[in-house]
Amino acid sequence: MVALKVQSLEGIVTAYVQSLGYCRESLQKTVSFLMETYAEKLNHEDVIASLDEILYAIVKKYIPTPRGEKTQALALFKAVFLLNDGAETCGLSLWEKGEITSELQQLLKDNMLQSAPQIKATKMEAQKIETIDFFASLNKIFHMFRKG
Amino acid sequence: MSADIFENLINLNPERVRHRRIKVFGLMIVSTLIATGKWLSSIPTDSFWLTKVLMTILFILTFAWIALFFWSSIFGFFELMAKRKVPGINWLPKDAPLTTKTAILMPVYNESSVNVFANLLAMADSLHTTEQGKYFDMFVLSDTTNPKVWVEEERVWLEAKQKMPKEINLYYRRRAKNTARKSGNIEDFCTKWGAYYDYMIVLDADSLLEGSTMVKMVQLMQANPKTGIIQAPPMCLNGHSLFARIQQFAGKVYGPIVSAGLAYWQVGDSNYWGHNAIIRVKAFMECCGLPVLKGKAPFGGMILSHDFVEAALIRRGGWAAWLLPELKGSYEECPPTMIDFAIRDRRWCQGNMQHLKILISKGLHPVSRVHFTIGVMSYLSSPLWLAFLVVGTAIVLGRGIFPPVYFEEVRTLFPVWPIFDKLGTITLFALSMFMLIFPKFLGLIVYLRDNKNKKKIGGAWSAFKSVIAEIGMSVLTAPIMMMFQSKFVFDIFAGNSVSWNTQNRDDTGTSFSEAVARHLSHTILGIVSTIVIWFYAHSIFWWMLPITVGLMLSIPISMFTSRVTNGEWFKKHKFFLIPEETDAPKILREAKAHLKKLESHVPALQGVALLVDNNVLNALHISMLQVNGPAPDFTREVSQNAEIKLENYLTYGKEMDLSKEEELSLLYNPKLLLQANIGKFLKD
Repeated sequence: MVALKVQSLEGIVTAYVQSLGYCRESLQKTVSFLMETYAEKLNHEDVIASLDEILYAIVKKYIPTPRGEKTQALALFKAVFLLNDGAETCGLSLWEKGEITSELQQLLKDNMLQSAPQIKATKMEAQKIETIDFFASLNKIFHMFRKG
Repeated sequence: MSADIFENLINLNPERVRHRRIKVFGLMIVSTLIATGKWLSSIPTDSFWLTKVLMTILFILTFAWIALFFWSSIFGFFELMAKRKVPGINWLPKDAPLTTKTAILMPVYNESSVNVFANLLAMADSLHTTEQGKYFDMFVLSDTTNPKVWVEEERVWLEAKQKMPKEINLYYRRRAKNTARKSGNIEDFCTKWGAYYDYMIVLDADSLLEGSTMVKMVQLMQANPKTGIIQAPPMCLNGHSLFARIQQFAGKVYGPIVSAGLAYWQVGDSNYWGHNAIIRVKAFMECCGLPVLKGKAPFGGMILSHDFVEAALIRRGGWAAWLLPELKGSYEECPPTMIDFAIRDRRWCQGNMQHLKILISKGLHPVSRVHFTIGVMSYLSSPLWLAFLVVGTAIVLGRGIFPPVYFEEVRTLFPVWPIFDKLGTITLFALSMFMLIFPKFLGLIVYLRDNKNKKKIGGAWSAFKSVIAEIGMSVLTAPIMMMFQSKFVFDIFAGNSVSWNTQNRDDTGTSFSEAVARHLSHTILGIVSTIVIWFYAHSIFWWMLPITVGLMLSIPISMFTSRVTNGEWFKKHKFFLIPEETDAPKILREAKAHLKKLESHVPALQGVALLVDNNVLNALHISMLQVNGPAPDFTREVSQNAEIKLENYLTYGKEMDLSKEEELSLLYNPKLLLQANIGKFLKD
């Protein structure tokens, strides 16, 4: 996305952290930490994907039996994190120590935003409905008359 | 189906069931035969033999249809007066514990999300009060194709989830492809999650079921292990336009004896109406997988009206299906205008005509075939009635234009007087009217008996005058509906697939332009027939007047009845009052309260713009994409255009103005959505 490519690395990191609900002092601290720790490791072509990878590595232990693809599992974490003011309660410790509050852990464990249960596939066979084809039957009758 | 199988199904002597059916259908046949005999003696003796045959066939078909409705209602009336329950089904005590989980399914298709979730919240609250809520899960099964509505569904789901009673789960799934429409939607649920549940309660988007009713339905399934389906007859509610209020009044007053009559002779071989019913998941999955019928539409292809077919298949599989009028607390909304009613009818008509092919298929229970026949006749009776009127009028016109021949070529001593039993014809007409109208007064008797607090219904006089007014309205609207349905049947047989979509309406109802578009042909027909009959068939002018007046006034009638203001005026003057209006049931009040709260939070932004702006919804949407199924294919052009528009929106604040395909392509692009959301923070 061009709108992102023209931005500075720090700018994108700041926006990313902001999108997780960080603001004011915790935002500054978190951005500083990320820039110091990960700036050289980030893929400058796709900074957001890199940041997602970092975040996923931290939180995957909290996402029980990750459902679906990494993208969806991480999005689920973010949604729970945002809804429960994770930035406020976890702050920098999420990134520094990989820690989230016990409340958040429980919410994730309880599948707070589970949109559907795990799929338990069962077959449902199409039934046979033997219908009479009117026109085919009429054709047969005409054919019989013509024959003899 | 043999009697042995029937015995095993329900706790009822099959002879007793057979006697009930003999009574109802026997009386139908006998009364039709007597009336036909009278008809034959009434036809003018000098009529051409072909017209005599044609008129007699049409008479038999239309009269038999009226007779079935009449006799079924009579028996329904006696059942209600005696307060007898449908025999053969076991009821558990009110406080009997539930032992298994039930899924409540709400299939939606581009509906108002706030209305859908408001209803679900009200039902969840109602279940919570029964203290059995933990045995229920709710599923919103979306087939929504409108991208803005899709995002709105997710948004409101999130809000509603936080208001749900803790013990009831609220799930949401949107299918990427709505294969086989509603039946496919339900099948998708069954194949993915059906294994978790013994029963499922299927709703419509406007359904409301009280918690106690849902608990009773589950208890009934528990107590009757051979039962596949239990249908709770839904009552129309929450109507405000005059048309809707008349419908809900008719449903309230006449509905019970109709349902009781049907239940009387159907017993454990009843039908399924597609919603407000509980279904045994195992039975459904074993028996109700719908095939694609051979041949082309309208008779081949996907099965449209799946409910009747599913009931027939479940019965074929050896399970019972019940219609239980005793189950109260089951509600739905009715179409607010005549045109909305006709639009719904168009869909149902096609589905029912398709049943003509299934009607004669192998292995079905005879009563299932009767259900299909009734469904077909619900629509086919209209063109039959129209044909009857046309042929009858043509005969009279013929007399007017070509007077009778008194002295034929073969010489006779005396002239040949055509014999026409006018009194006989009038008698038959009066009899038909009696059979159509009398059950309404029987319904009124039951209604007055059951509503001891007359204030709630505006008093006995209010109820009586409302019945008279409803009859008057029916007389005027019947010919209009006859024309609609005749056209639908003709279109279907001609293979014309006409798409009827409503135009955007404001709260004032059907606009003049829409009424003209839909009813102009009716008006012209009414005027032309009035003139022709006046001049050339004057003897039947006054008899035909209710029909011709209804047609001539179809435009004002359609507009007038669509207005909420007129509905309110009649309500103020105590017409069509029902107790649910004067003292709304708790579940309806709660649904309205939830709706008010949900409506107060509707954001200005919609669709992709909302996901760009709102990081929670953005993350939520991406997290749910997996559940929705694989993304559809979009062309490169569509994807690129969408991305460019999104860029311009972010960079320059330019309105996105996305097409439906473009917006959907973005909604299926989690990477782009995430970048756009973060890009918004950069912009800010």
